[in-house]
Amino acid sequence: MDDLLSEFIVETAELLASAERSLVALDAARSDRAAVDEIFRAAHTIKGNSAFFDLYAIADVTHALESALAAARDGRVIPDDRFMAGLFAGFDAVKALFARVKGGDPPGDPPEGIVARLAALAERTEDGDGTAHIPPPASPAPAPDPPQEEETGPDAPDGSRAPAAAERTAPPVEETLRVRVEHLNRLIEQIGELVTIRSGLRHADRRLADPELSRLHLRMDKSLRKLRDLSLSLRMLPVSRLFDRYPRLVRDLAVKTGKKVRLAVAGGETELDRNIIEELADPLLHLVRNSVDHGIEPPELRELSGKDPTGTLSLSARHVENHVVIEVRDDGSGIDREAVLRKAVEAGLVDRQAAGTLSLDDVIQLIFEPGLSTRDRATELSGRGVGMDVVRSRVESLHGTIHAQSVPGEGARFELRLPLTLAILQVLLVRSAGGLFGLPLLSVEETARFNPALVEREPGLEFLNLRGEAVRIAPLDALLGHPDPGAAPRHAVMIRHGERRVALTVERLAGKAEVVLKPLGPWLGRVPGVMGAAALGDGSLVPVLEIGALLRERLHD
Amino acid sequence: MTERRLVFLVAGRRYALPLAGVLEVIRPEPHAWIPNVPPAVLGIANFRGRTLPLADGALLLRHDRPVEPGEAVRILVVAHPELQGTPVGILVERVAGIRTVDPAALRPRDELAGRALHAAVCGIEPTDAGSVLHLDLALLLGRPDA
Repeated sequence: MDDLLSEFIVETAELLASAERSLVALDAARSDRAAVDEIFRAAHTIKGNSAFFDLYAIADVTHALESALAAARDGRVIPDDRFMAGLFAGFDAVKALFARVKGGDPPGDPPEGIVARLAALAERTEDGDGTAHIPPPASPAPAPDPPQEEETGPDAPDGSRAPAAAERTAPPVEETLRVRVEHLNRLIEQIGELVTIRSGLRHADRRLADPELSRLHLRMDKSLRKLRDLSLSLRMLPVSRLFDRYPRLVRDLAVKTGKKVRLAVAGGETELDRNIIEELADPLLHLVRNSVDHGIEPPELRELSGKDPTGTLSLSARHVENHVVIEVRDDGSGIDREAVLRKAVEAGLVDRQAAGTLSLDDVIQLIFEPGLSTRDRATELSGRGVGMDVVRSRVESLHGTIHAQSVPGEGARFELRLPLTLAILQVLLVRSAGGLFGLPLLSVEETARFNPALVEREPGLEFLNLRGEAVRIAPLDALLGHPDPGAAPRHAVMIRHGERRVALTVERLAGKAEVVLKPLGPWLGRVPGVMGAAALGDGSLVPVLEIGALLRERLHD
Repeated sequence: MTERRLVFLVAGRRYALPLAGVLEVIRPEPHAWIPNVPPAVLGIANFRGRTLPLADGALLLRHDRPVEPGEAVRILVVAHPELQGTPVGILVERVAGIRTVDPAALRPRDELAGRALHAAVCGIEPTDAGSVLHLDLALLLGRPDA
């Protein structure tokens, strides 16, 4: 594809996204001047660019949009519901035409009647009386008058005045560069390999104990760390890239389902590896759809329960230590524990007798099990094949965790924890069942010496008293199902498992490591409880475990 | 048209694989055990920077007991295009050598119908030292629990 055309495609995609954000903002606040200006600017730019490429269908529609927006801006028309609907339809038409161009095809014709419809919007509305419904632009902050009189320097030899040196110049534009993601990915992979080789060097350094080698190794280590951190930062994007799609989506969903929903977004500037952001799009979409479709009740029902008829859906992201927490929360009806438990027993996931012993938290997490849906018919919006089980497996394939919480009648909250990047994983190495295993540090809260004498026993369960908290014990060798139990456990690793903590007992701890996670390969495919394999500095391979999955397997025994 | 086949022993029986599918023959390497895999899968090993899944040839071919440790034990590193060429290691008791055969001349598997033959056996070659069971690599690797 032509380079110029590629540029056009990238730029137009950005402009359309920006226009959509502003459209939603304008829809919510009809006198939002900045939004009108932004939409106008986007339409205008797309019009000019598409004309350059002879994409006249797009140019025609955006021209009509431009006229309608200009009319609103000048106060000739009111942005009422009919107007907004027209704008949305206009931009949807542009998106459809653009999608064909992006796919390498000619745009074709605009949907019938759209240009005429938009042209009609630019006509004076019946109530339009010239009164500006959109406030005129606030007078710009007084710029210093370009100094006409004062000389700013010696007169030019021919007597003409030197140009006003104090004339305001535009603020410097941020320097950016467009880079192919594929190149970045390969660069980061190479650096990952270097990091692994460095580990090998460290081993050699220790063995040889040569002072010069040690010195060089230390310097290389520092330099390599910086290189690694810099390269990873290249791939970081703000989460807002993900969140930006939702205002329009939530608005459309709410309209479709007849509900009133307000979307609150926070922490958009939180950064995450681009590859993770890409992969999160579908799961997050499902959670959002789920909240609007199943969570938030119709306005009448909400009012009857004394709630604000407009429900609130909030999306937020924040950094916590070395990972990111993304939360999707709504103030709807929450997750029906009884219904989930009933379905789970029906589906054979939970034994009827065991059902009574499950905690509220355990039951709620059952929604992530395949084959469970508390709605008897899949609705058009939420029944499209991306179920909660897929959400969880996607999140876990990103080395993250997802946990659901709910208060009946008050709402539901989904918390996703994700590492900052997929390239490098921080793990805690432990010895168990005669082998070494890696536990993602993301899930590890603390470690402690394990004294079997301090174990408290109740029928079928063993507990550790940790500063007054009763923490369930799960021997790692038993979790793994290894035939040979190995030596007696001397250490316990506190793992966060949803709301609770579990003490994983292991033979001993073997230090922390930063590893490049390798997949197990297509022949083995996805092995429950194993995230992948990591090569240590001495070349040995260590399986990295998915503790959540291992603990869940045990729950179903 | 003849083909070269690598002959190996497992549970005292002779089997053969197309040489084209065998990347390397290596001595046994330390491997890491992993949970939740079929019994034939021994674990994973680091093979030239990549993850090599390791399978016990005897168990893979549905014999009762795993390969006995011994001096002659080797790992056949095989790869099949259907698996995107990613290698899999098969532990065998002994590598016997290379034979050149005409696939068309192999006896069909029904001839030994009395014995339960692994689905991957695609032909039988009678020799003085007993028959060699020729295997189809794709069928052998079909699924770890096949």
